[in-house]
Amino acid sequence: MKKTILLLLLCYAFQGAYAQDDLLAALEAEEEPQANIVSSTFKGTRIINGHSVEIRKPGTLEFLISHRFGTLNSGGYNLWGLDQSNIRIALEYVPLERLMIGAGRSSFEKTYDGFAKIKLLQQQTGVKNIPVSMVWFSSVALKTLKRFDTYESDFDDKLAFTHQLLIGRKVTPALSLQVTPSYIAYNLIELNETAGHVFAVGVGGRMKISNRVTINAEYFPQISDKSPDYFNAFAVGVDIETGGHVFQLQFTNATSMLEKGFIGENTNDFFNGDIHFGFNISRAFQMSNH
Amino acid sequence: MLGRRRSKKQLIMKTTYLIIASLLVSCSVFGQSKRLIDSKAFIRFFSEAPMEDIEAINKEALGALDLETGKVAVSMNMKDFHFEKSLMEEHFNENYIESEQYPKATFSGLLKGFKAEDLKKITDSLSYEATGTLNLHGVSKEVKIPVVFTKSGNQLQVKAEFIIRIEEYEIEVPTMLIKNIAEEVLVTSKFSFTLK
Repeated sequence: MKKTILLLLLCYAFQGAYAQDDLLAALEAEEEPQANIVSSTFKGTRIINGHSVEIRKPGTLEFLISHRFGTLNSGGYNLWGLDQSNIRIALEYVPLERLMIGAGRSSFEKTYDGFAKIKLLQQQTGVKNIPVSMVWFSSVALKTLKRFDTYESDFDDKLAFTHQLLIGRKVTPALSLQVTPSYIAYNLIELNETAGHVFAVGVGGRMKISNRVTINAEYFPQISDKSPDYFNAFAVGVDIETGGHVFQLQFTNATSMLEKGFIGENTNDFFNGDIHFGFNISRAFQMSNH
Repeated sequence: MLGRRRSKKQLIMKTTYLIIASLLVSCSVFGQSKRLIDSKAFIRFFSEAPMEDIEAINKEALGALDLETGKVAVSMNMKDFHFEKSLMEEHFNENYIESEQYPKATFSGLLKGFKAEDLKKITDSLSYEATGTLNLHGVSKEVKIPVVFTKSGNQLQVKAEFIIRIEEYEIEVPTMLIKNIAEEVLVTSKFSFTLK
């Protein structure tokens, strides 16, 4: 009997203490379960050459300048490639949650491009558990460089279409990985080519070395190619973030900064030293409230 | 005989458990009725630096006041802070507050000299000092925060305003951005409770 009274008293004392001290715990128990959206899988909308699963918040306009110098093995006379350069200037806008559109102009082959990127799945935990982010990407490129031969190409001949499914996962706060199945259709098959389309599965990732600096790598092996003369694109780079800017510095064998170029029409061999030094700089502007 | 004694003992035990159970229930019910909770509390922080002013607002914080003890508790998700510039919001979560590792900020404290009866007598405003622990970015600090109560009808408004030094909470700012981000941040919090 004494034992039970003691137990009773203990219970009461414990209950009293619990009720008084843990107001914070009681408060947090009131909280409704939330979706934990995984953000910042990559710092930029590109891993290096190819798109990342990242889509900015609505109302964000990004001015993106991408730049590739000549190849390192072009010799000291060309200052190891720095004398040459090719550039893509683009405006990329997010009109709606999960939708990004953009248009750009590349000096390489005087190419105009337009693209749309739609987020199909958002990686999250909590109420719903979705292990990956998934983004659909489609683009069209118009090559306006005058031909060096006598073939008279019409408008359709100058077009190439890219479709990609970007599947990315922030594995840990530091490590993000992405797989990018890609299909590119070209309206014109050149004489040295055997097919009008390319299949490739890109792989890429980033590793944070500090909150503001990451090391990135990306590889786009072709499963079926247009011509055996074309090499797979490889790139390694560093992302540096400073306020509203993201700087991406990279070494890559790709000359073009468009999917149809770097995945399917890359004539440089990384391991032969056909490596371009390059950078992407983006500046974000908030055009409307998100 | 033996059987009857056992059942008598069982009866005593049963009664004891009933008493315990009723105590537990009454205690928690009693405790809850004395607590005021705001689940849509407002927290704002503002910093003024040479290059730009930064403001972020969280309208989904939780605040509680225990009328019996004068204890207060506040909890908020860092991802509920919204900025005018979305990229700033991303950097806040990713680079400064590291909200994946430290998803919440909390305050748990006591209003010195608080008496529930005083709330009934508010004509203009009533001031207290809350002392307690502020946990931000995984760092806990003892703080003193001035708190002002005002009342309109059966609505009790509570406002607390204070300054935090971000270095005290181990929030790192790179030297090249020192002109964009102030070392001191003004925190304004507002709670609204319905008095019964």
